[in-house]
Amino acid sequence: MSSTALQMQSARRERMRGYKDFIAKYAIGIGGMAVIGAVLLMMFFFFYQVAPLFSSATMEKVATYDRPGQSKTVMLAVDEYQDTALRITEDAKIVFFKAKTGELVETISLPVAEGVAVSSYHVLDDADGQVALGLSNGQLLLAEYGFAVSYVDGVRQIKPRFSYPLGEAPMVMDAQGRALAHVSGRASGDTMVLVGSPKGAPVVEFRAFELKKAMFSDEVSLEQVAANQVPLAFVPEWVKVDGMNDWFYAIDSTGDMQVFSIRNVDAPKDYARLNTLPVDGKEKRQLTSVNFLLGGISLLLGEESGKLTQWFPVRDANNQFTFQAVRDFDEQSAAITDMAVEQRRKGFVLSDASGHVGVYHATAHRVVGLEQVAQSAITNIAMTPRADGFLAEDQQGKMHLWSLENEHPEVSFEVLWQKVWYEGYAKPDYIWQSSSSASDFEPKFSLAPLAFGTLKAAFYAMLFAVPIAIMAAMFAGFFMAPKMRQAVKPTIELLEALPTVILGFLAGLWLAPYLEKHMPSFFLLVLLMPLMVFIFGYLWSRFPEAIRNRVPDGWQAALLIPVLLLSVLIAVWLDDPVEHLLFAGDMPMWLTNVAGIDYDQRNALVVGIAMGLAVIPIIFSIAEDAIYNVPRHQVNGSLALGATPWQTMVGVVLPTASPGLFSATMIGLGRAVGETMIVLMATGNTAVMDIDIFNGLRTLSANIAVEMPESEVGSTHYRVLFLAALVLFMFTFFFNTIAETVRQRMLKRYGAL
Amino acid sequence: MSSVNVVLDHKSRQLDLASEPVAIEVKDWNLYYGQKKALNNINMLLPEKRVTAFIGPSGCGKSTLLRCFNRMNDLVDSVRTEGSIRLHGHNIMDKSQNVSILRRKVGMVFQKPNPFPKSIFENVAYGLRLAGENNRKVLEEKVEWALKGAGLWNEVKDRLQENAMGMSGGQQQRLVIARAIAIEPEVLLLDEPTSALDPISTLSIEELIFELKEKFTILIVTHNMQQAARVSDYTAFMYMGDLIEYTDTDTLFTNPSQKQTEDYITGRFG
Repeated sequence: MSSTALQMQSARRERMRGYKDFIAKYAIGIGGMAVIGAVLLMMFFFFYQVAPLFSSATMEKVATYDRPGQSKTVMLAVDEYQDTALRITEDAKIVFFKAKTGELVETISLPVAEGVAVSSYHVLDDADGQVALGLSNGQLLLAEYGFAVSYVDGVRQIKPRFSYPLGEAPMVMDAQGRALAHVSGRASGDTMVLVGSPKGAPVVEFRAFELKKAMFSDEVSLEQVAANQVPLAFVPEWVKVDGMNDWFYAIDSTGDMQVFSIRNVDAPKDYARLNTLPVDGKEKRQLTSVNFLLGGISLLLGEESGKLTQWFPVRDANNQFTFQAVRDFDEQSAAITDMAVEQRRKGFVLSDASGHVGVYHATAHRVVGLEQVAQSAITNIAMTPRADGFLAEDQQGKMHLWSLENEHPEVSFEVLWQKVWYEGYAKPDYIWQSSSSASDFEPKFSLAPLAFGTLKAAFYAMLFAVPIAIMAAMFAGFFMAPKMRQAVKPTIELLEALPTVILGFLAGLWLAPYLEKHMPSFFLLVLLMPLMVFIFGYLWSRFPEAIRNRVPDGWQAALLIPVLLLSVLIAVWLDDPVEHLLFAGDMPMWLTNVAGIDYDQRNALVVGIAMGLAVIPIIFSIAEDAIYNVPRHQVNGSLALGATPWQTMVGVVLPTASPGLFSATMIGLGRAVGETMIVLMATGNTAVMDIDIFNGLRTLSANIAVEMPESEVGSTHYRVLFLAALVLFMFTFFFNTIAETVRQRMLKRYGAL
Repeated sequence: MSSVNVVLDHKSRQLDLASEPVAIEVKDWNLYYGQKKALNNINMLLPEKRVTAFIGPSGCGKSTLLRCFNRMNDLVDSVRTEGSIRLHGHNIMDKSQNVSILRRKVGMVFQKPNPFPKSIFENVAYGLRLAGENNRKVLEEKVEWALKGAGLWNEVKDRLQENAMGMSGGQQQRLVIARAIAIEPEVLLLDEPTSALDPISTLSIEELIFELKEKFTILIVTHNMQQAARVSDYTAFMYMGDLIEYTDTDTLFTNPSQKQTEDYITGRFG
């Protein structure tokens, strides 16, 4: 070849090399960046899904107009689509009007005698629009309003309707014909309770009815089963019947409260008297507005100062109820004038004398919004059924329609991570209970028991796995004969490929019932196995040389296999006698009855063993590599100084391998925290906060797996599950970061070997 | 420099192997790696408190032989031996011989400096602690003594708690020697102790060897014939697993009796 040909060839090769370098550089670069990008995108998506949980409500003014119709408003209501609203006025009219413009639609007169005014009202049932109206002549009228929806040419038409389910004839509550200053009532099951308090009188008229449905029509008739006049200790300002027809409360503006038990409708019982406004020395407090929260269990007491307190009955150990202030809100600065509660959640809005409206969630203890709505005091406020808007009327006769975007008021830091006092519970607690069959159920989203369960499962798994895995790694990486190691190491690493669903399946369906039946054999094994290994080791050292020398160095461990099997056999064989001798024949029963430890069949012990088995291979593998890779010259240096192999292990090998051992443990921990199938199948998934080894648990990962199918996309539950995933992500991120940081520091210390 | 001159001066004295007190007696010693014979019927008497050098081409078995004296070859799986090695009359290959105790009597320094990833103090104290010495005062005294013995004390006395991995290669090797002499062995095995070091560090190690032979019997394996000539009293030349010639250093280098020895020291092979 000529020299030019050679040069050309060399230039071509040079070019090819350049291309290959170029391609490799960018292909690898893109691959690496894509991985980082994917992780960041995932993080971003999590945050994107979780962020709405913590955003405030947006409140926007839709319309302001003059009050349609005459007379003072007793009650306001709006339909589901914010199309039509109604006012029940003092002069016994029902005024329907367009919610967005105030345009009059229809005015109906109540079937009452001339000159009779509406003096009070109580909404019996938001969903049905059932209202009890107290009249100025001592009578009570039961009415039902509604908005019939129809579609004409694809356009929604709302037609208001108003009816009297029990007939147009009002029912006489006060025989003396005094105006009913307060009415209340509740239909629960087949019983309906109506109460009314005549103006200025310290009594409550109490009526109970049984609802009778006619056989062949929808007609409902009432049969009165009880009628009592209940004397009160004071003239009440509010009279309220609770949602279960268990209690009625009479309250006056000084905060005095008298509670009657009405379980027995024939004889309302004076159950408790208390003052809800304890005087704290300085200002005199006064109640200005009272209402029930959704469900009719919690009472909301609004004060002149703008403060609001939530109260509910709490059952104590003796089955007695006390009435407790649970939480308060002190956001608004003027007297609370009216309040409206949401129909599907424990949220409410408060209007005050300065024209402000605040949007709240009771359980989450959260103020989601506060805006100035009117220039003067708001007298009445109503919420739309979907809680996406409210209608307020101010003192100057202006109506204000506002829209409300308030998707997730029920989540707050307090709900997620602190003890929350839920209705019906004896004390504040951490509770995860995302769904139930009842419709008025309040979801309870405490992540605390789930995070706790995650760490608990990981803790017991590590308790089981770390000693075994690290000691196995020490033996295999340092003492074991190379041939044996070549067989043992891949075998253990192969276990890593075992699907965890199989381990979980075995743990849940075989190990858990087996442990329950043969509990002592497990504890016997924990005692026997090391004991027999020690005894065998001692005996072996006393064996004649001739026999001992037949076993090549590093192969002695194989002799332990029959010893281990024997210890298992003995443990199983001793199970029954020990259980009879020490635990009265049934250890779980004994634990519950004598030791006072609750025993769940699927408990942390089962999880610890099963998940321990799942993480042993990975810990073993990394730890063994670390020990095996301790430089030979280090080991020889120690041995040459007269160290025994064990002294070399402790003095040189373990310190040198410690970064690897640490990261092995941390990676195992990260894996145990994120593990799903085993905890799903072997824990019982009870979200309890109890470190006890015999109790069950629920982990973040299992919780996501269990509840993902039943959560509606975009719902609070859905987003809280994303939050749980984010917390889990943080956990593993945290453990891995710690592992890496500590490993780097240790490497620096033991580096350059 | 001066001490090297002293070494050479000292060596001009007439030495007689037959009249020296014996530290180690090697008798009919054979060693096999699996089927391969690595040492072939070695017989030699190693004198006490002298420096004996082992030279020879790569693979001649000199390092293998050195490792027999503290039974480091036990760690190699396929090694099998025949014959006896007696340290002060006691057969170290005896079944009843505790290897740890033997290695405390026969210290070893390797080719590559191998301090532990611990402080300088803890490195030297390591052997003492192994033997059960935990008295802080005793440890401090002995560490100082050993570091002085290894000529390192003045360099490190202010940074005893620093990690030994931060020292220079020559300092590390002297630290390893200090570590070996701290437990006061009878014999010190040096396996090519300077082959990984620069000339100046090499020199300081050679000076050290000269001083150490006052107290210890020293066996050194080296590739460097000048080094053997400088530091040793006696030299053994090995080739292909055989002990070819073993006599005082002056004689071996100036008037070898074997053709192979002469070929090797004149650089015709190896």
